Amino acid sequence: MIHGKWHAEGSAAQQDASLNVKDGLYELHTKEGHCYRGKIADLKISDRLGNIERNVTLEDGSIFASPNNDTIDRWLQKSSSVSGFIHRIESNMKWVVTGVFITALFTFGFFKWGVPWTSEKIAHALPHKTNELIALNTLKFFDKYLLGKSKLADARKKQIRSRFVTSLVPLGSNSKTIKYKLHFRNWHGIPNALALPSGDIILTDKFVELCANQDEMDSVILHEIGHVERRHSLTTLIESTFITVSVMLVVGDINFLGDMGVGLGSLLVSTAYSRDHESQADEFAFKKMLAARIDPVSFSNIMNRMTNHVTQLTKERKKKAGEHKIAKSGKNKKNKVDENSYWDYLSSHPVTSKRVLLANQYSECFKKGLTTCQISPTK
Amino acid sequence: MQALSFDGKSLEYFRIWIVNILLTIVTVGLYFPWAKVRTNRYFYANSKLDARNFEYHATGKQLFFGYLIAMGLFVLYSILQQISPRLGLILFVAFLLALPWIIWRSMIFGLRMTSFSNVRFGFAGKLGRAYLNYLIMPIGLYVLFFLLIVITVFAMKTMNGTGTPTGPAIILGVIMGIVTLVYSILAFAYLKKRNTTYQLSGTRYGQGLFQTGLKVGPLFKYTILGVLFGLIGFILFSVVAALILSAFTDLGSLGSMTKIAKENPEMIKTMLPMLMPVIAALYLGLILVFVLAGSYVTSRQRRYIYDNTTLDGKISFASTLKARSLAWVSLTNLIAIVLPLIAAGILFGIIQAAYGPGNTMAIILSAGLGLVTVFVAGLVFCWAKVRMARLMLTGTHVNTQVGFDQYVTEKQSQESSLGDQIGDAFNVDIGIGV
Repeated sequence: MIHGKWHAEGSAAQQDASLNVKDGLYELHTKEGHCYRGKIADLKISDRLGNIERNVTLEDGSIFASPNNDTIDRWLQKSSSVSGFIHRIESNMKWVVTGVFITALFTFGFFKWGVPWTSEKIAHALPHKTNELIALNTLKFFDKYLLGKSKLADARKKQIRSRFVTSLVPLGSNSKTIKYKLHFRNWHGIPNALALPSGDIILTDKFVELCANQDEMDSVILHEIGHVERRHSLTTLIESTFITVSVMLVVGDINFLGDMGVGLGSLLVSTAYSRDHESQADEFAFKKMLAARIDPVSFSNIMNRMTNHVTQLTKERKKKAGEHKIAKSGKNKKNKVDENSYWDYLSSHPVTSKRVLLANQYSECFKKGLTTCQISPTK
Repeated sequence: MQALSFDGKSLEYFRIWIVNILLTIVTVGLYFPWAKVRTNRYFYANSKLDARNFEYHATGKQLFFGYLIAMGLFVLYSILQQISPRLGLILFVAFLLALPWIIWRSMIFGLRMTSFSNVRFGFAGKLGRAYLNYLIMPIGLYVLFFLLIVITVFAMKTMNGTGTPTGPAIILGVIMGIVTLVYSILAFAYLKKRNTTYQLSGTRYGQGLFQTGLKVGPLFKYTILGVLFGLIGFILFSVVAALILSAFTDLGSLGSMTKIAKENPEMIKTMLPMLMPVIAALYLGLILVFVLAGSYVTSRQRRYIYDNTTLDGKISFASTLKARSLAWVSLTNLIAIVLPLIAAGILFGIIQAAYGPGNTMAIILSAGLGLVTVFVAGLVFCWAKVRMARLMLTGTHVNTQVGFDQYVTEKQSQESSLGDQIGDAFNVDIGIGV
């Protein structure tokens, strides 16, 4: 027999009551003399959840509530309801630990392989029009806020363009659907090359200036074509949608303080995806270079030169500001950044030294006259 | 007067929470509505007053379709926002236009699904009022705010001509700045008054009516004091932090650093290690000040609102929640949640440094670390949530002398959950906080 409180249907007034069950029949007595008898199958008993009070709804809608969960469970003889199953998982620590384990594994696998794989599949299933759509106003935006007019001589531009159209664009496998176009811009003396998903590729003046030969320029442009071919912008967009939605699902009720942690986590995940994309574009470039008989070492040469230039530039700009102290410690830190893997996780690009290493491996193949290359995974 | 109590236990809730997450993940999100129901049922049923408890009655099935729609809209919005900001903006404006309706439906559904001592709550507020309170009033007040700024700028320009600002123009600017700030706080207090009144006086308990008589004055007073405390606190903190920092680093370099960063974004990476302590210190200071001032405003406004609210003019309420305790619990909760994450981050760094990335041992250790972190962080998160619920409930007092026995549930048709779930998906958390 268990004790609890009894409420008439929809009434706040309560009185003490007791419930007994025997052979599938129940008997309920309230303090003020109400008496119910019937089959236990006709009772509606709420699902167990922790140790909160259990509601037993009688046929006339009145309610008997009791915290005596264990006895009620015994009477129900562990009915095989779904919710009973959930409670059994919750109340068994072994299951909870297993749950944590599965959750962690699943989450890891989901973000490590599931999101990039699915995003890539979706990105490639969409028509190329989508790529043009997302790049619609990007170049205009860059021109307005970031980039200036190119100061290169027209002859030079023309020469690069014709090389681009005749030799590089045909190397891509989708050169018919994608309208590749080369743009020249000036970006405060920073060497860089960018690709928009539409096939617009932007070279900065400083980059063109730094290229020692045509091979170096080709290697970087091929890298950018790799981004376009593999639809990296679109993939990134889908990936970040995945991250936002899944994070919101799990921690939907977290407060603003928790948002910090979530924000940092999302940042780490998305920069990891971005690094993957860079590596993929590198690989694309290397393979095409082997096919086109260009030495992949050119890529490592131009990468090194660009990195050195940026370091130099920063040092100079600091000196201009009269901050010798910071510049010195900044350089030390810079060396550390390249070697210390810890900061890798915050960077959107793989560490230059790693990319250079891969370029050199491909270059070995090139020297042997191979057109394909088996690369052993790096340590 | 009798205080509410909360009987939930951290470990018990942790088990429910982790199983919720597990099932949500395994079902790729489909279980979410059922998870929400279990969480709400647990927290409601453990909230007790006078040997009676609250209950949450919605079922996962009821929430499911609304949830799907909300999710669909959310995904659409996330995509649109990135593809075309203009379309994203249109959807966002459409959402804003629908917001009062969503709030209204959420109030009806949420309260209808809540009972205390076997009697359901209800909501009788009008949709038109929701539009007035959550859309028209805020827009009107915002337009006024904008006008104030435009007038100030215009006045300063006419006083100056085109030259550099003169003395009187600067004085005018400062005065108008203060006026604008005071106006904003007044506007917030006014909205708070309107919205709280709308929510509370629309709430029913069975046949009983909640009544509330709030004035803008006290709400304004607490908010402006809170803002002042916050401002003073932040200035004090900044000065102290600057003094301490200048003892260790050359502060002048900070300015040039931002300049360099602007000219050369790549450099940010190399500067990060140097800037970290500065950013962290300012961030911590901001949080500290925000929590302290926020706790003050929340607890004072709560006390004022409870003191001026009754059920049928017979059952009265009071809040004994102290700003001090609210700030203490919020801050210690925050520290407890963040510490394991920081510790895990440091350990992760040590593992990576010791073995190098990609090493098998490093991967195994990192995975183990991740597992332990999920466990510890989850446990702490649940503990923090239970602790906050207990603080809030024990700080709520109700005059139970008249008793609740005469209250009965009003008959009403079942409500759809659409509004509730859209509100949930876009994180519009409303409803009466006990």
